[in-house]
Amino acid sequence: MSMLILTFIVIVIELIPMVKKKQGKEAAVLLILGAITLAYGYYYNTHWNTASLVKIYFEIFNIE
Amino acid sequence: MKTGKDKISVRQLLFVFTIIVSSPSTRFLPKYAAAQAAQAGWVSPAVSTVLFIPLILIIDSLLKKYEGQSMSGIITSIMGKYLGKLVLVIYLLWGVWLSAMYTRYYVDRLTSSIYPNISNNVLIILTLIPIAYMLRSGFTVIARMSEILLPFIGTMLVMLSIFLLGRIRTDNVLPIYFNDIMPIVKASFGSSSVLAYLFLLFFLSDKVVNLKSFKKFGYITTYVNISSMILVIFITIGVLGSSVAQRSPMPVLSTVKQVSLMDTIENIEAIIIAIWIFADFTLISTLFVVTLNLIKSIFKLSDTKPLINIYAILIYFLSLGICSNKFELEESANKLLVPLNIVLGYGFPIILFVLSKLKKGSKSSTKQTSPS
Repeated sequence: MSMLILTFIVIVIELIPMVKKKQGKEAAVLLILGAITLAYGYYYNTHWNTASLVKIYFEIFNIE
Repeated sequence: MKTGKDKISVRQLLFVFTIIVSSPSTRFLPKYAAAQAAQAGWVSPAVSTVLFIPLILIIDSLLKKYEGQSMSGIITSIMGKYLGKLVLVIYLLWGVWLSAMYTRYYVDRLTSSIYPNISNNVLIILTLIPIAYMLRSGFTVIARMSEILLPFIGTMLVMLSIFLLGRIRTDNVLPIYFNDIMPIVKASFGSSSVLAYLFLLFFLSDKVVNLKSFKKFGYITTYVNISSMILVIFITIGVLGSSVAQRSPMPVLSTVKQVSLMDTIENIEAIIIAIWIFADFTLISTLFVVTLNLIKSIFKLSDTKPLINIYAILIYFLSLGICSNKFELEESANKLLVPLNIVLGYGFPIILFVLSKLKKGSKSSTKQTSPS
């Protein structure tokens, strides 16, 4: 959970100078990346013992 | 060749490529080659030239035709705005996947060799913090560092090979029969998949100067990389035998552990671990730069430095969640990464080259109608 808090802090710290410089597009991309990181981070934290992207890929492509 | 502050020479880029290739070459190739072609596995990298030389020629042709553009720009010019961006997104996902996977490989290699009692989280954080810090200084730092350290890595590899020459058993690497051709071709997909990262590096071509000499340096790089791959696989299979090499978790480390010089100099595996750490560090940093450059091209951003930290945290979570155990990681390299690398590293550039040739007529007619 501490990494999720750190993610949130990093997003805010990086976002402030962007807003000051009025870099709207950069700020939007940062927020998208931040949202993906927080979502996957939360998923990993709640499923840490079973989380496996490789397994999902194997299921999608039906690889045994 | 003198370069600008944020620019690197094509020679430096190919130095980085050689170091990048050295990491999977020592981790994955001996196992893969031994599993596919047994004692004949060491010949397989030579077959990879059949795919790699045309890749060099294709990249050279594209770079000459679209001078001054990065590979992202070339793809968008050839395929159009929307289809081009879709392709860039696919390459972005490939870059993210590779970054997460190689971070996990790096950590797994350390935990199974020298730090068995340290948690993966700690090692991943200790890897990603220096990378995120160094990338703020730009890609030139990585390129110059590679230029300095590659000769040392090459020398160490040659020295280790000389030390191990006496332990090679000829019946481990010979005989090679006519029937071995198909297994050798199958094994060559492993080395070809590793060499496919060359195309990924050219998403940084807007940072590279002197691209005109790419073909010349490309041939030298082919020679150096293919010979070093043959050397690593030959030594590993020659010392351990194909049966042990394909089953050992880290065959190169097991091989280097056997080095003994007049019973005085022993246990010099620290050298190979130092090479791994440096090669993986370069590999992950370069993948970071490529991915961030792709994000920059897709969204037309002015700067990607503010994205480095958040991207490093994303890779932290992805590298932890990419697999639940080492078995899955190795299986994904054999069954997923090899075909994916071949398709995206060789298949797509061929399509791009054909499309660029088809667009040739329309481009020349545009030039004729331009007011200048």
